Amino acid sequence: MSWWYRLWHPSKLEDQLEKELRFHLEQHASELVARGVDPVEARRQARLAVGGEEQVKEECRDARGTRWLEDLWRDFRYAVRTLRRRPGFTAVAIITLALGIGASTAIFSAVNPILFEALPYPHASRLVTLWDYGTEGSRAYVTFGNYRELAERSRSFDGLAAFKEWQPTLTGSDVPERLDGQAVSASYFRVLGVGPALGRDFDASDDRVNGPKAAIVSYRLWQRHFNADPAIVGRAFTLDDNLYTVIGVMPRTFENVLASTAEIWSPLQYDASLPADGKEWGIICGSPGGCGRAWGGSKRNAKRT
Amino acid sequence: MAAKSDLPQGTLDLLILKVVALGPVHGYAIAQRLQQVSRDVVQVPQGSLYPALHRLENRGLLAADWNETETGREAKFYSLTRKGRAQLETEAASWERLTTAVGLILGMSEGGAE
Repeated sequence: MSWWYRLWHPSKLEDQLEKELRFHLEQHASELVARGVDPVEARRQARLAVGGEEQVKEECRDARGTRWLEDLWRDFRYAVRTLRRRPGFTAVAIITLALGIGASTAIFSAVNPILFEALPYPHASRLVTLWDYGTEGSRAYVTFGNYRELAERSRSFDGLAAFKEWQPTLTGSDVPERLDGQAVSASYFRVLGVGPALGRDFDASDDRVNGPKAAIVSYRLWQRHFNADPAIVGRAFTLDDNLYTVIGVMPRTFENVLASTAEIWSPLQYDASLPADGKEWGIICGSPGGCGRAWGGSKRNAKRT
Repeated sequence: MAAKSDLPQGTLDLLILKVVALGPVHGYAIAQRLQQVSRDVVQVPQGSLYPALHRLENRGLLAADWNETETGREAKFYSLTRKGRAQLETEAASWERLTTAVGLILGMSEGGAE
C-alpha cells in the first residue's frame, strides 16, 4: 500500500483497522462461547485480552509510518474549514500576509542590487572609485588636476577614467530638451568594460582640446529622439547650439551605475589653459593593478580595495 | 501449569514472521498459534500483536490481503514477502547464536570458569 494511497484514503484505512480488530474480538468471543462461556462474559474477556482497544488502534496508526503526514493533512483541512467559517479573520490574515510579503519583497528588491548583486560589468570586482575627503571627512569629488596626476603615474591609460555631470540642451527639434549626460575621458567605457552596440567607442583623438564634437548616446535616447535610426552613426545634431556627431549607441542592457539617468556622453576635452575648475570630477579605476601606483605607490593596498 | 513468562524484547517480530512463513494467516490465528505452539508458556501480548503486524507490513516484510475465512467471514490475511523471508532467516540465525551462547554460559560447572 503506497503512502500516497494511505494519505488519500485515511477513512478506508480506519475502516480496515476497525474491521480487523472486530474480527479478532468476535473470533475470540465465539471460541469462548463454544467452550461454554456466557456470550456477554465472552465478549468482555476478549476485549480484556486485547487491552485498550483505542490504544491498540493508536499504536497501529503510528506503525504506518506516515502518521506525521496524515496529521499534517488533517490539521491543514481543519485550518481551511476554520478559515472558511470566519471570513473576516481570514481576510485580515491574508491582507496582513500580503502586505508583509509585499513590503519584504520591495525592500529586498531595492537592497539586492546595492548590497548583494555584482555591478553589471564584466570585471565588476576590480572596479574602484577614487574619492577625495572633504574637510569634515565626507566623500568629495576631485579636481581635474588630481585625475591628470593619477593618470600620468598609472601604468596604463585605460585603467583610469574621469567623469563629470553634463547637462546639454538638445535643440534643433520642435521642443528643446534638457538631457542628463556625462563628460568623460575617452577611456570611460573601456574601464567599465562595455562597448557601444552601434558605432565605435571614444579614442584618444576624440579627447583633446578643440577636438571633434563627438557623442555616444544611450539606447533609450536613440529610440526616443533618433527613431532607432540604424544609420545613426555619423549623423549630426545640435547640442547647446554646437553641432555634434553621433559616433556610437550603447547597448540596451548597459546600466550606467555612476549616473543612472545619463543618456549621452561626450569626451571631456579638458582645456588646461583655462582657469582650473573645482572638485567636480569622479574617478573610476578599472584594475587595481593598473592604478596601483596612483595609490601612493602601494600596489598591495589598492589590490585589497 | 508453569507460570507464564513475558516475551523477551524484540522476539515478537521473529515469532510472527515464523508463524506467517507457514502460510497466509490472519491476526487472530497468529495469536492462537503462538499460544498453542508455546504450550501456553509464553504470554503473547495481544495488544501489541496488531501494531507489530502493521509495522512489519509497513517495512515490507509482510504483505496483507483481505480474504474469506473457512467460515465465510472477511479477514485480513498476512503472508511473508521475499524480504520478510530473508529477515526471518537472519533473525532466526542470530537467535540461535544467542541462545547457544547463553546456554553454554549457564551450563558451566561451578569452578569450571577458570
